[in-house]
Amino acid sequence: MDYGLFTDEQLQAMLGHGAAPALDALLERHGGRILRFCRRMVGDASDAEELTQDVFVRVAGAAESWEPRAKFTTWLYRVATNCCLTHLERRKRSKVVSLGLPEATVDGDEGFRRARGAELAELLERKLRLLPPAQRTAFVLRELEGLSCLEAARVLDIPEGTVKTNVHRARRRLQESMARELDLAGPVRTASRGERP
Amino acid sequence: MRDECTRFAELLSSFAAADLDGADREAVAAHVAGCPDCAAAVRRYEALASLATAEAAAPPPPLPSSMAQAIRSRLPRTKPVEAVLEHDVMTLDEVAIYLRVPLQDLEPELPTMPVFELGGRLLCRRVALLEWIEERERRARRRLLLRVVTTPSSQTP
Repeated sequence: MDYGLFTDEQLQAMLGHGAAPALDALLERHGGRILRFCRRMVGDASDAEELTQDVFVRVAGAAESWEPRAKFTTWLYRVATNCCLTHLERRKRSKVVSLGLPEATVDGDEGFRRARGAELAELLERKLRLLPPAQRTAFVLRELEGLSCLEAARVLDIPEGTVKTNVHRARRRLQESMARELDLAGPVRTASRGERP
Repeated sequence: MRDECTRFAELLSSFAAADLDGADREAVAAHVAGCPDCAAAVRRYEALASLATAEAAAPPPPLPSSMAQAIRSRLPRTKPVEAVLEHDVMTLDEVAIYLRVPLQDLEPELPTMPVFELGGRLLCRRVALLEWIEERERRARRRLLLRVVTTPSSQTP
């Protein structure tokens, strides 16, 4: 049976009946995206892998009683967000956050060196970690995962206006904290003021 | 000028993202045109948006090869799906899986499908489903025959 033919919702229903290949198909379709989302949320590759496992274990565990009230991906992001926020809260309480993570402040020549290509993206990931969880989650879902504000609101189960406010505040803080690197980032899209990507 | 910058600071991100409409957009544009600091901030917002767009478009990382196995080892053992599809009674999800169609494709068929309700769920007997499929096959054959008989190419010149 080619499990790639089925919709997410059907695969989830099949997973409820213990179909291992359905899990493989869901992992192949969404695993990488969830791994990247977790990495952006918690900032640590090893933690992100464990969280991705947690997400899919929860997804499989809930499969039997799962009823498609929303799009599967909306629910998947909601499970992932909850896993990441719980993880961040636990890490904050155990105060180990600063031990395992790279230094988030970039000063002197190091800052200029990093303001290039992939290093700028890496800097963005590190600056994201300094945002309050609500702003970080909204920014990651909206700007980096490409969800609309409405979809992000459904994932987070909050009003769309709150998502917009949090995205706006996140952008402002990132713009201020990455000012020098963004100034050096080179040419930008001149058409961006006219249309939303 | 500083007061004006403070007033517009809240709008610069939306301006750069083209989220402002008519009057607000014109007011911010006029201010930015005469204020180098705010113009620089708009450029930074644009660079940030550009960076975010590139990041969003990047392919996701590959999963570690051990991940599927690690997840599976944490799940309780259950029967394979093929066995469940052999059940005498199926849920609509299972019917859709059995027929290899999306669940929503079944909805228009529900009035003629041999389903029954139990505990708020629609269920379908496997035997009744097979009979329903056979009836559809018969109807499809009749339609096909009718088309063959009535098409001009089947008539003698």
